[in-house]
Amino acid sequence: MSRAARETILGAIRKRLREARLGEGLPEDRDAVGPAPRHRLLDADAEQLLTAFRARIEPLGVLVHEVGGLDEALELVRARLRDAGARTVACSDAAALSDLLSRELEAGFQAVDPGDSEALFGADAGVCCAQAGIAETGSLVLDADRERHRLVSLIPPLHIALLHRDRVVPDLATALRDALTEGRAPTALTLITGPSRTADIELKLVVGVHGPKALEIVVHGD
Amino acid sequence: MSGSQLPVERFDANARDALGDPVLRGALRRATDLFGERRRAAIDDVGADDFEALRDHARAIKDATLAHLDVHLERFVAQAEARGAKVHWARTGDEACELLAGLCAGAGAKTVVKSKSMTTEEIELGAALEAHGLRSIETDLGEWIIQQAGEVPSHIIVPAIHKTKAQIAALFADKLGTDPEADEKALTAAARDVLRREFAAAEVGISGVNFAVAETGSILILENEGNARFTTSLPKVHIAVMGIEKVVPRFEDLAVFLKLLPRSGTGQHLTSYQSILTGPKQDPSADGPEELHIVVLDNGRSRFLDQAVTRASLACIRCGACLNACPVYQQVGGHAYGSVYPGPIGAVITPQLVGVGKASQLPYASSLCGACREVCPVRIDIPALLLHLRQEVTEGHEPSGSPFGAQRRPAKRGERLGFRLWSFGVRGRLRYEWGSALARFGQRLVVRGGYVGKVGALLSRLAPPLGAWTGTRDLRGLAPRSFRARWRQELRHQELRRQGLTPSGGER
Ligand code: SF4
Repeated sequence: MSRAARETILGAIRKRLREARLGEGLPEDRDAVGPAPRHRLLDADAEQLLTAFRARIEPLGVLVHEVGGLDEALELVRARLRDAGARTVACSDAAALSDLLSRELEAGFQAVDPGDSEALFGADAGVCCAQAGIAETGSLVLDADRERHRLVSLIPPLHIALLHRDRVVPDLATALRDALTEGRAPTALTLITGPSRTADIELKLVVGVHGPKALEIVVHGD
Repeated sequence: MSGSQLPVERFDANARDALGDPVLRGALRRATDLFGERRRAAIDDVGADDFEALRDHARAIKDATLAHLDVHLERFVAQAEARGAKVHWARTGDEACELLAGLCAGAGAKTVVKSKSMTTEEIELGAALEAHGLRSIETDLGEWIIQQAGEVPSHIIVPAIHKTKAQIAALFADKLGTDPEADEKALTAAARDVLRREFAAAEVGISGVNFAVAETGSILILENEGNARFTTSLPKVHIAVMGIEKVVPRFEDLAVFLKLLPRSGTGQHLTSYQSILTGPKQDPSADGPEELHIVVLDNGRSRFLDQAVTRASLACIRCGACLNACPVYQQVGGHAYGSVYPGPIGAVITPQLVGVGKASQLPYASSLCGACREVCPVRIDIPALLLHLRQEVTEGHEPSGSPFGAQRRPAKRGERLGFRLWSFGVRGRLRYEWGSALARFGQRLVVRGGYVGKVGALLSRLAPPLGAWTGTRDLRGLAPRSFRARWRQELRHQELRRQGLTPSGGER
């Protein structure tokens, strides 16, 4: 059925477009469309990019911490988890976070397997790395082919993400281009800009409707 | 679910009912004002010039894509299949519903979670799945509220805009046993708990598609709540439903549309989440569905392609800006349109989808003020489309090749005669001036204080179609003196003043 449907639909499209081509000059193909307007942040340096990133995301209630090296970042994450009263923590499989797990007893929380979705529903917090940040929008970019963080960043009510300061790119177009490997898109690319939110009841903002209620970003790198 | 959709044939009656509902009108005003303000702020924040350039660019991409839609669609499908997605084609809504029900059955599904999607609303998928014995759960908070209430959405971005917090609290108290005085935070938390259980139990997740990328075979879904992320990453099977017009050529093109859509719709610079998905998971130890199905739906869309004016409606990215800007929508809300697509975009899409014979009133649900065209991020000339459709209604044509061709209505003889007289009267200066002088004399019978009074209204009711007009509008009489006469006098006065004389008498 679907095969016949395919032929019918494509046939109908071709017939209509043929008629249109006779009646009016249809526009050229995509290649004839010029480049997109250039974003002003494309000329910014790393410092300015981070400033722009923070200016975008902080008004949405996201806490951004800046620290030095990775050790400092992990120390801060532990402190934040303690402050939040998190007891069960799901950590993605990022190599950078392995140290966070190895000291789990010391840190005083219990680790949850990032692949165990049932356990994730009971977790207090999820920790992962972001593959990039976007200065233009204040977004985190999560590439699921690089790290197992699709559910870790979604299910627990607190999401803490590590972001390397060199990984903040100017704009959306750059982030999208960088996400392709030889023209191939990752299985799942997730852009995250702030906590989960809704305004479906009388337009009043409520955070944490389905996803995390709180998002914290730890920017690290010397 | 279509049970409570109002009849699309009766916009007039639906609108009249809506106008009598002060709660609805208050809610509409607050929402449309707020979104309008936020939109303006979000545009200022890109820089208005940049925003205009983005709009041009986005439309150029859409036009170029639609001009070769077959090529881009085939490319998208080939790329998606190469990444392991299964692509299905559906000519009509019914065909799509059957197909989807079959896929759900194949997955052994009992519970299906759905994220918000206009396309699945259009084909009434929820009802179809329920008819096949499946539990179909809407997971967007607004949609879920509507589903619990047994209603239909009234706005494409905020579906439950017509419901007050008190109404929702009462509904939740009834269905979930929550506190009838609960505030929006408590209500949202209650829904979160219920829906998390549904996400965990569902075997299949069904989503819409905001954009499909030909270059990579990817689909993009945007949202604020996270329910679409759950729907597309937790169940074993994900089915995405897309209209044929959703395709864009390049991965990078997504950036342009992502800058336009949330700004235009809710005035956000970006929604909380974008999921850009390409194929099912390859690595068994990864998160995400094992199967990804994509249903490509025509359902009448290919018919829009042959004329530039109707083709433009396929450029729509469903942002909702035209609803918020429309003075008619602001007053009557979404339900009056009797269709899943309300507001200006609904007034042009619905008649094309269901036939201008059936939705013949919708192209008239507009003052042609052009506010929709002003705000549309892809610059769709909605007023031009409305006029085009009005012409089709009047001439009794259905769009070429449409299956609704049976209901032809020849233009009425009286109407034709009336317009001929009018055209004769206004085409000669003398005829026009004498004609209006005569009318001015004659109108003394019916005009009171500048307006056509009771007698006139009565007379016009006796002589349709004027009654239809005066039934809902104040009809003004002709001004005591014509503009041309006043202009001539003004020139005379200027001349006198130049000569140092004071014009005497007369009105200014
Ligand atoms: S017609 Fe334009 S403004 Fe209206 S929903 Fe579509 S894209 Fe938005």
